[in-house]
Amino acid sequence: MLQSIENRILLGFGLIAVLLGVIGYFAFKNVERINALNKDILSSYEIIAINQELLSLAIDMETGARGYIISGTGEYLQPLQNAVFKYPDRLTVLKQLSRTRPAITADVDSLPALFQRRKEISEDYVRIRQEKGLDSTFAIFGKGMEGKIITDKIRTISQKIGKSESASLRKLLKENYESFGEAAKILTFLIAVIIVTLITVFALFRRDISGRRRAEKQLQELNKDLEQKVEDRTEDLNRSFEDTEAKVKFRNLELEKQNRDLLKRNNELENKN
Amino acid sequence: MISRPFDEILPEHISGRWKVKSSTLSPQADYFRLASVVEHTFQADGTYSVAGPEPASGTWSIERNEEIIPNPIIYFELPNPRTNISAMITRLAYMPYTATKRDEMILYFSNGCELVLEKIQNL
Repeated sequence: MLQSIENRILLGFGLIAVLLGVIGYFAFKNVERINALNKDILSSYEIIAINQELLSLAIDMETGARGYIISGTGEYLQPLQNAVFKYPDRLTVLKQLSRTRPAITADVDSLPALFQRRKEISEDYVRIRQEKGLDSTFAIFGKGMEGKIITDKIRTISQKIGKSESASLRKLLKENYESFGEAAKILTFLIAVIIVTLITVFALFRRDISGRRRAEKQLQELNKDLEQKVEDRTEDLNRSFEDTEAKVKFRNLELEKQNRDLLKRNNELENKN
Repeated sequence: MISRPFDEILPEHISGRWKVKSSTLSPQADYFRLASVVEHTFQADGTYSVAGPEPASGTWSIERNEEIIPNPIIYFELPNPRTNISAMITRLAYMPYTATKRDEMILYFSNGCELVLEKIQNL
């Protein structure tokens, strides 16, 4: 009985261990997937942020140069200088991040040349303003719109990248949400399996204990019954022995009495004779 | 059933109508007058009567010889032909805690016959 309880408990815990192993494997795979998705989501946020920053830098290049041309004040050159300093590094980071994004790779690859050109145009205007004055600069401005065209191209490409990456981000967030849903399902299943197994083991244990108690009680009753039977039987035997003894004595008494009667009758007959 | 101790058995425990529940005859025994009796009546005044194929009436009394045996002995005396019979009480038992009181008496005769009687009426 005891061995049976131990076996059942071992079986129950073995079952839990196997189930935990299987569920643990799926949970691990799910967590790995969520990690990968989180990395992608983080990359998307970075791409969107750098993309916006690059657009701002391109605009700064244009507006910084324009401000200086109009005012001739050196302070207006600061946004241009800042943009010229920052954009190569930002472009490098964007290119690295976009390696896993085939949809935007071509657009990202086209940006360095446009920024280079945007920088050259702004620096040309500044240099002409410094060397030849405001009128000469306006004269050059009036002839071509290349600077504006370049900035517009950068804006268009930036919007395209932003749109594509936002769509990608939405998709990734959706996948991430679904993965969390699956993880929650796995966790719920795991808890349910553990609870059901524990209840089953407990029920088996309790049934065995109840069975053992019942058997012990039955055994006690049987022992008690047996003791009573032995007692009754001993009493019966004693009584039977006493009965037999009494019967023998009684018959002896009767025989003695009959003998006495016979002797008495014999004496009477002798006396008559 | 609870057996009444032999030293506590009194004539009033015996007086009454008893029907024969079962009887055992010794194979060696000759004709026994009480073997075919179906009912025994012990009156408190010492009158004894039997019912059956050979009805008869006589007397009964209790005697004791406790130095030799503790069991009470009943002496029967029946006329036509005059017969003296002795029987030893081997058991006088009663059923306690029952609505209908049930007494049982076992008589052992010197010829080996044994009668099991059940009381049907107190007298």
